[in-house]
Amino acid sequence: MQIKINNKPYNCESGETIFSICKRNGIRLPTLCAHPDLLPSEGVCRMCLVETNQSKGLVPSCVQKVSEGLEVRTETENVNKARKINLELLWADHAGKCAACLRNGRCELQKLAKEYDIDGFKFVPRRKELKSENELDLLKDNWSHVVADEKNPCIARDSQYCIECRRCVRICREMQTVEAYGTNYRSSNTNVGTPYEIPLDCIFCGQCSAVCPTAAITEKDEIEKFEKALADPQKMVIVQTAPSVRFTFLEEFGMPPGTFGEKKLVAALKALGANKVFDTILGADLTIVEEAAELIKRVKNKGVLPMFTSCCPSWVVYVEKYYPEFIPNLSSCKSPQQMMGALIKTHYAKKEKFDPKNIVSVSIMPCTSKKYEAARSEMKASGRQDVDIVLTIRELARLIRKKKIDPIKLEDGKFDPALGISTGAGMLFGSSGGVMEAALRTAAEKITGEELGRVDFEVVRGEEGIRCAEIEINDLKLRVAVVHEIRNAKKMLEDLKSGKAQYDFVEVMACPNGCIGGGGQPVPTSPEIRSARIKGVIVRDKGMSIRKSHENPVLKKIYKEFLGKPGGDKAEELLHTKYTNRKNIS
Amino acid sequence: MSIQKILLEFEPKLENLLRVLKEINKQEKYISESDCLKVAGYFSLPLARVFSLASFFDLMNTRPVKKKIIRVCSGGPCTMKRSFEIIRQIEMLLKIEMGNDSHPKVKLETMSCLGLCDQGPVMMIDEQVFEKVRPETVDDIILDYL
Repeated sequence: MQIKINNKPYNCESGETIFSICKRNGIRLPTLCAHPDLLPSEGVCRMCLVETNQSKGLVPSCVQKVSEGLEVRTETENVNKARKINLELLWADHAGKCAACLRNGRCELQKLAKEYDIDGFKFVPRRKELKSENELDLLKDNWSHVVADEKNPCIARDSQYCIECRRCVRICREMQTVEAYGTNYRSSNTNVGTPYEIPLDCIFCGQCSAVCPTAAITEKDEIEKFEKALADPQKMVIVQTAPSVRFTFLEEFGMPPGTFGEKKLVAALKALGANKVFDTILGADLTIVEEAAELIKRVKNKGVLPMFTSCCPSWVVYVEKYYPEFIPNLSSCKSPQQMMGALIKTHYAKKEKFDPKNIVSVSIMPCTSKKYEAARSEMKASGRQDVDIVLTIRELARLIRKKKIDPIKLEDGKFDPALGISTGAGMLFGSSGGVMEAALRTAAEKITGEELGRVDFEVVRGEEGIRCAEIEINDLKLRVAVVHEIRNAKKMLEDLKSGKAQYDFVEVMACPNGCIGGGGQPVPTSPEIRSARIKGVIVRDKGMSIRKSHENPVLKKIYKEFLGKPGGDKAEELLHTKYTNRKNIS
Repeated sequence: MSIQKILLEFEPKLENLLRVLKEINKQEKYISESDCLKVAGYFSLPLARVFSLASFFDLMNTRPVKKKIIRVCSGGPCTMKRSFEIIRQIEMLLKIEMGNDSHPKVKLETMSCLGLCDQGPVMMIDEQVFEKVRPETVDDIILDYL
């Protein structure tokens, strides 16, 4: 089928929306509610209005399907006038406190307001512009439904910034199946929020904060704590950086997605005043060695199978809250962040003769959920909280901008070698399928006892929701599955329950495409941006000299000096954890 | 009747959800958080979805009701028949403000259409419906009823 947009013919298929055709052909349409992760669109914000020859009024292009002979105009006087009025209405409902806002400069509403010159307050007058007493009610009415939620450990909400685009409601319901948000009340009282205004009860994945067009939902800001620690001369600030953030860090400073920014990231952290910068990849390598040992033990001793990875804290909380019967299946290994945190405050502190009391352990993560994980009561291997402050990459970038540091202009930095040697396997942790591939590399060698020639397990790569494979190592057959997004994990769990599927080892990541699409990653995000990031990860793994976790020289040394053998007593004490049934009983 | 008994009368099918909520609202006068949790558990739905349905309807309460509620229809047909004059009259009589919660005994609210458009303007005091209300007669209704 052919349709005309702005007098130019374009090919399309029936069933497509005008919006998707425009997007494919590079015609820009403003929108605040449509999101590539949330299809089909709902047509809530009325910003993508267009004029067509087949309807009298303007139509929202994100829901209007194409038909034969359609002629669309995207930028007429009428269209722009309507968009401007709609935007002004949204703006009137919004706090408009841009200067102090966490999303200043990255807010979709702010960008559009700039583009359409929204400066007047026609619908809600400001105090000095009031013409009659009745208008006072308008002012009051605007603030009658403001809810600020500070009780959730990872996600902060402030509904004065909310424009009711429903992206958070939908991503929570459709992608994560948790549905912590709802659209409550009706007409002018409508607000997006939690039932009975309870603190947000969820799995902390932070996808809502990644899709929110404004600052209504953000990560819980911990910059102040970090700055305080940096300013305290008594404290030793030790920072670790997650595998995936080095591929997204430079996006915050205008570079294309997938750019490898490890050196600039380390340099920026040192410029901020961090005493030591370590690499969480070492923690990832430890996780792999421990997890592979656990898997082999479970397979050989006929333990509880399938074994689920436990690197993703949102997935762990999901199992604890919704499927507690699967808790024995979770690997008892801590996540890389917590292994690293435990090592810093025990092994490293002892070796360098620091008092663990004076160490402030900070981690830079792609994830909001890690904030919750660090605060869990089990995570106290050193006798106190192992990781003190968790910052998402967005927070870190905000701090760097605040300090007027331009990381691109900084000289390349290097991780401190004590706990900072990385491998390709650990690098892979950033994307979905990475933990599986890294674990297979190690497990295969441990089982056969021979060196692995080819190390790429392409079968577990890709972008489908559930990827299954059967891998033969000697005469051992391993049925593995790689799952991302909770909706797929839920399906996988139901299949396991009903006996429709059987696996031995399953990797689950709560966010789309794994940590690379994490809830704390730079905005905006879309499938294309995420696949560019994944490409960066895979290229980097290929270029690494050490590609298997157990060959990491620092890791070998730590096992020799401190931990003993994988799965041994000391390792069990420091690197493994327990889970609790958190199901809501009603 | 306890909430369990209400739940047992209905099958846990989605089409019964609204009927259950209405029944609870009728018995308990409002739908409390614990009731809502039980309903959500019974229908295997997330709490947020049950609450957003319950809070959508003006005639269901999600907070405890301690006052007499006067509701005036704000639908199109009733507005055309000058329901806002009735609202003004009530405001003057009881010295209260629409939507304001400060009066100790009475609260004035707007409601959406009851389907009695031909009988408009319509108003309700608690469960009682009054049709064809005129600004002249509203004083009597309210003073009689309160």
